[in-house]
Amino acid sequence: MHIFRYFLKVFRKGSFWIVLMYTVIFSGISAFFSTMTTNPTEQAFELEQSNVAVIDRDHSALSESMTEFLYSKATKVDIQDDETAIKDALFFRTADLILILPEGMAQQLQAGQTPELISYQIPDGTYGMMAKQLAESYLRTARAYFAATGDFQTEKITEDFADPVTVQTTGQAAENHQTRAQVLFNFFVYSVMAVMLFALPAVLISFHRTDMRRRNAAAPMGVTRRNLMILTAMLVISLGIFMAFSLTAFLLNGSYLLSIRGALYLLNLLVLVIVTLTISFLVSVSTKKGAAVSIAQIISLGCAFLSGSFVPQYMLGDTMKTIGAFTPAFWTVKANDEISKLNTFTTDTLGTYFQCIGIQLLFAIAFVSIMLLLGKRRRTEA
Amino acid sequence: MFGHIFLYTIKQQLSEKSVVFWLIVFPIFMAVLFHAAFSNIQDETLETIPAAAVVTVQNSDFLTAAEQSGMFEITQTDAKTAQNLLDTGKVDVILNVGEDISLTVGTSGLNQSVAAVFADTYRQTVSTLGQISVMNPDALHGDALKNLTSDEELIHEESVSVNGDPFAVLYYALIAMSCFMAATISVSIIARLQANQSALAARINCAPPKKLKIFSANLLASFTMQCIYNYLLVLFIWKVLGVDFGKNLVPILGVVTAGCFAGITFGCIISVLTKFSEGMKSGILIAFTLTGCFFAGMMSTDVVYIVKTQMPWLEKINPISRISDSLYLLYYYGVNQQYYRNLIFLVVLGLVCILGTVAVLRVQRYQSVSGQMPEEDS
Repeated sequence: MHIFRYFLKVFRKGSFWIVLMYTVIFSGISAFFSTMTTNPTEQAFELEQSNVAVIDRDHSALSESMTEFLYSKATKVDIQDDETAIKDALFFRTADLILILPEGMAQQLQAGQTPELISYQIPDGTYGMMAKQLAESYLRTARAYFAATGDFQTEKITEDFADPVTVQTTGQAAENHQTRAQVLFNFFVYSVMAVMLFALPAVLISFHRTDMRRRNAAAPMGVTRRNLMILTAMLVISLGIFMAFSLTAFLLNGSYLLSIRGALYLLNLLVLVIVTLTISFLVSVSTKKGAAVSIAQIISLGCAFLSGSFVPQYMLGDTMKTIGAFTPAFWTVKANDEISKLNTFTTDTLGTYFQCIGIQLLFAIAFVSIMLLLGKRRRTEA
Repeated sequence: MFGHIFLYTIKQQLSEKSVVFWLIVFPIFMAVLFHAAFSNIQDETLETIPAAAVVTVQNSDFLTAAEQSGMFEITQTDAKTAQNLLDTGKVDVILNVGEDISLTVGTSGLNQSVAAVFADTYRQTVSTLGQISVMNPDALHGDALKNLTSDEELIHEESVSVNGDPFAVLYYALIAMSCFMAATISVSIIARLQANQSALAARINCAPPKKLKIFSANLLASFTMQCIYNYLLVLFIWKVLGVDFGKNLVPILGVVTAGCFAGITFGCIISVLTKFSEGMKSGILIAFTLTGCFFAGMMSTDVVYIVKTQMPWLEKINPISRISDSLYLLYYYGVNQQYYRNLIFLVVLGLVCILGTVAVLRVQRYQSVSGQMPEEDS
């Protein structure tokens, strides 16, 4: 147990607080991104909503009713009535459509004139077009009612729009709809790799120093027993990191994870932890202490971008996906995406998921093989 | 002597692999990753929606309206074939046209939503006609029907000057980060002047040149190198990766220079005011830089908008936001008052930091450093 305790001591002195800080920061960032989405409650058709901002300069009963109607059909965005605010909202894609209802709009419509309604939208953007279609439809209806009855009949318009067409779904959740748990576990791919690759190689490298290796070689303890203790210590640290991120996941998703789906997400995360553990071994035997942090950053960030941890996989280009397939993280993200799509969990539906798990484990075996090869060369150098 | 120290500082910084890595290789690596990940993402644009229509009534107005809208590419077929087309992904939606209208979709999605909105609008028009026919049947032969079914565009679409790419902000925040990474260099500059930090610093303190002269030469050399690194980064992102920065190179280089100046001097003041080890000081500055980058939008462009609209004070006090905001302004609005305000803020921040550093360095004296010297790395 001496080596086990020594390993944990080096970790506690050198990296523990930084690892704790990184874990808290990454958990916070993961939470920030994941809370922008929600977990589905039932398998039903969900209408994609446009982000709409209405600037009402008319303040008439019609304009207020129209504003209320649009906000009931779209996601409301609050913006100020000035040019910079409008341009900023469009640039950052906060609003798909910004509609300005001009002063005197209702009066002009009553007089049979066409008021000058202005819209700002992303050119050819579908969401903006969808919202604009609704706005135009509302105006046409109001004009028609006025022509027929001499009143805009805003209550009747609301009634006309109140009965939507039935939409039946036959399949699973849309590929481009991400659930909260999926976003969270995908972001964990980067977080876990960054934290583990920062913490573990730094401690392992201290065991690979030439003087240390020579001392150990002369010690009565066998190589297998020593390596087993190092491995056990690393597993303890890795499991601690795994538990910390799992706790974050439960805090953010609650009962949604108390299911087979949750167990599958956690199993996938655990496999990633094992793969990252093997990468840590590999980094420690192939680099020096000074370069380990840089290499850890390159590996974790590179994997995160190539795998779809930051940007959903369906948004990545084909070349990116091809390159990404050569990283284990790609298969972790793919497995997470697969879990989020499933409604039933049978051996048939879980085929792709277990395939992804298998590929990750193959990566782990490959890394261990390379590590053993490099380790042997190092031992002979000592 | 000044030139000698200046040149040797540059040589020393170029020979330190970790410095070169963090100040130029790492930002370029990040820029390449951004490009690889985000260059494929585009706004959803309107395309024809493949649809199957299962018609069980004759002369359907809905089907005619759908065909005339130009929004759908419709295949009329029976229910079984339509389902097969949907399952194999050849159509996005099935239009069930009978006494009532309904839709069948495989998944929720944008095309499916557009189809649903179209069907809702059709149903609403039918409902409105029904209401008018009850309220005033004669009106259906006049303006009411014409108003309801006209194709006249009632909302005029105003164009904005630049259809900006929001992902450009990620690169601007990256450049801002790179400017402020210079702060970590300042830690070693100051450590070389504080005799209780290293053996080298103790020797330098005993050397004949004045501390201010050594500090100035070190600072100028580091600032020069940092500017060169960041100009290269801007050129790489602009010319190699093709990210748009607007039209004027000089204001871009101006804000980058001011950013480097603020970054490097900010590192000096933090180093000189705190008594932590070199590693801890670097850690604090990196944590500050990364937090600043988060609020400047390096991890999500949504954050920039939230900060701009809900926490403008945070943007005002965050020097990293000031740099990335200036680059955003140059790209989207051109040179304007806010750009100059940002520039002045960065220069003033730099001057305040440099004056504070000099003031503290001037009064630092060491009677003895024995026993205080940190262990040198072997």
